[in-house]
Amino acid sequence: MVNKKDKMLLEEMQDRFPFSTRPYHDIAVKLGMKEREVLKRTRVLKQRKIIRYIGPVFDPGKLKLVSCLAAAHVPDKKLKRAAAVINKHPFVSHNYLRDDEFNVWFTVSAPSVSRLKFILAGIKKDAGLKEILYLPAVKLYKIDARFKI
Amino acid sequence: MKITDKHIISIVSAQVGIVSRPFKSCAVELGTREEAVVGFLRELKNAGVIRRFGAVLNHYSLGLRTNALVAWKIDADHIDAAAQKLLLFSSISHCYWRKKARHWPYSLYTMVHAKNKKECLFIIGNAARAIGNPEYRVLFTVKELKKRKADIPALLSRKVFKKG
Repeated sequence: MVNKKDKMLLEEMQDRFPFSTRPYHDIAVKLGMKEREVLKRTRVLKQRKIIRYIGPVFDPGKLKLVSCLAAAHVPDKKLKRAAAVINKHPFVSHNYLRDDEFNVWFTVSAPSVSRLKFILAGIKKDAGLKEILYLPAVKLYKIDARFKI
Repeated sequence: MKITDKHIISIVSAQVGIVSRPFKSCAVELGTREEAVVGFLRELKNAGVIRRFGAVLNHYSLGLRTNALVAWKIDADHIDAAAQKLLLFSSISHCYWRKKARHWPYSLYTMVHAKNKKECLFIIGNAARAIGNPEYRVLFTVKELKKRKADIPALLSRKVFKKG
């Protein structure tokens, strides 16, 4: 999948990206590479879509945002339209098709619970859905989408 | 540097470019130094506003081709204990207690990642045994319809953001 140098690089970039004005230079020094090489490898990893993006992952709660998981049963013939309605909303960050009677699962963030419910009601109406499951979090135990490379 | 809403929104909405000085353009735009941008990001990390900072990888490209959302039906009194046991599984990336819905009795949610369906079901079976075989529902991911960073600038009204 990735060679040894790329693996080292991905581990640094995922787990220990430096807060520095020249982060790629600092990573290069640490790994015994040239900055130019780090930049080149990183660009290729991004092109290959192994890196989705480089940047911050926010805690929505700390930004005073509320969010929820939502799910709907969408019949095949309505799926395209429903997906388009859901995806076009800027406050929807994830949307997945799953192999269940409730087949469409998405996450929404908003500045308030009332706004969140308003958005879900709008999606329900525009997508022509009978029901949307509203599943707000009671407690977060773990969120860590970092992977062994 | 005095942090204004404009600063915050510019900084948080920017991805880190793959160039030698990735914070330079942001600093120029804000009329400040790169050090100030980096310092502010570090502050947000320390305050927990930024959960983590760095490369977000695509697990699919890394060979984890199957994942499933598993919804567990567990009484409220036992959710904490079950979650603690599920956290021991390294293949579980997310674990949430969520409110139940009408006709939907599940309250504990986990994301499980594996190389293939067989491995995924094996891990889920082990997880189920670890928490006393409750009723559960496996929802394999068929397709990613949308995945991107939340649109933070769109979400942040001036009133919403309180630093720290």
